[in-house]
Amino acid sequence: VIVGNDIVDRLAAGVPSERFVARVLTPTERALAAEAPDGTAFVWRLWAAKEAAYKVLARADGELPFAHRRFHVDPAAAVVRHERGQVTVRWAEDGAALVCWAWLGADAGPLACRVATVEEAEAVPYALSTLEGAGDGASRAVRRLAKWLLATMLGREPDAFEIRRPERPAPARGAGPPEVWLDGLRLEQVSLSLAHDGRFVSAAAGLRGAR
Amino acid sequence: MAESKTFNRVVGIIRPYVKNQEALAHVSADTSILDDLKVNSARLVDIILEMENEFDVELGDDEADKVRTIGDAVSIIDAKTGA
Repeated sequence: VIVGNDIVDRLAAGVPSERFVARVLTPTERALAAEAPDGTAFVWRLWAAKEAAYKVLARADGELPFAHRRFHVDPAAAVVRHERGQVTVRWAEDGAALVCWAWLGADAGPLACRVATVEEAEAVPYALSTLEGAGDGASRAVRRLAKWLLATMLGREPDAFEIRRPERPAPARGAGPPEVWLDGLRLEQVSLSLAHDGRFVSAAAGLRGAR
Repeated sequence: MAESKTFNRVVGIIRPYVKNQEALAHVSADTSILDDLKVNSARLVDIILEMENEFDVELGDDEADKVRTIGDAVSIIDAKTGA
């Protein structure tokens, strides 16, 4: 299973402009949003689904262009369709936190997703490596949350895990997707996705090859 | 590029969306809008839209996807405006 996730802090996100909506939604999605009881919430649900689906498909192609309108969300079927594949999505909302997690195919297999506030996750007393601690508060918080998630899934001490995001090889730019390391070895079978927005962080993990 | 008029106008557009205002004191063409300035992806869409307004240009989806750094934005805008 290859997983992706995204989180939206609804209070921080506010109300999207008409141009924003036109930029990121397909005509079909815009029509659905216009009919939705809470159009703003609907737009952010679609947005989060597109972001989560992109993270899944970009695992296979780090140079995959992210054009939001090429990701077609079917809310009724809970899938996102793209020319590169179909991604299954699920949403959950807790107060202002809207989270979406996604995976390739229909069967998630062993998959877990957790959401916390930055303050809650920052308070978790797990050790961070120098690399893990180099980011801002949200980056550190989401890594702590991920360690808790991995420890729960794999039955190891949270401090035994290290989350790395190595730079992608040229010509790609920026950090690649997160990698999970345990006792100095990379766990290739674990797919991990991290997200943060506003006051919230979210981590999703799946086990590849396990159904 | 750091001295160009386009560069300064692009930084002015991005400024309200930057959480870490201190980071703006050291911006360069290589500054990543998402990673260095901690602008989230939804706000990056707003920035693209504001750049379209400010410079009276249209950025296609593929062009918008290429805007990762301030220098990327400046290069695309300069190419479109002939600056």
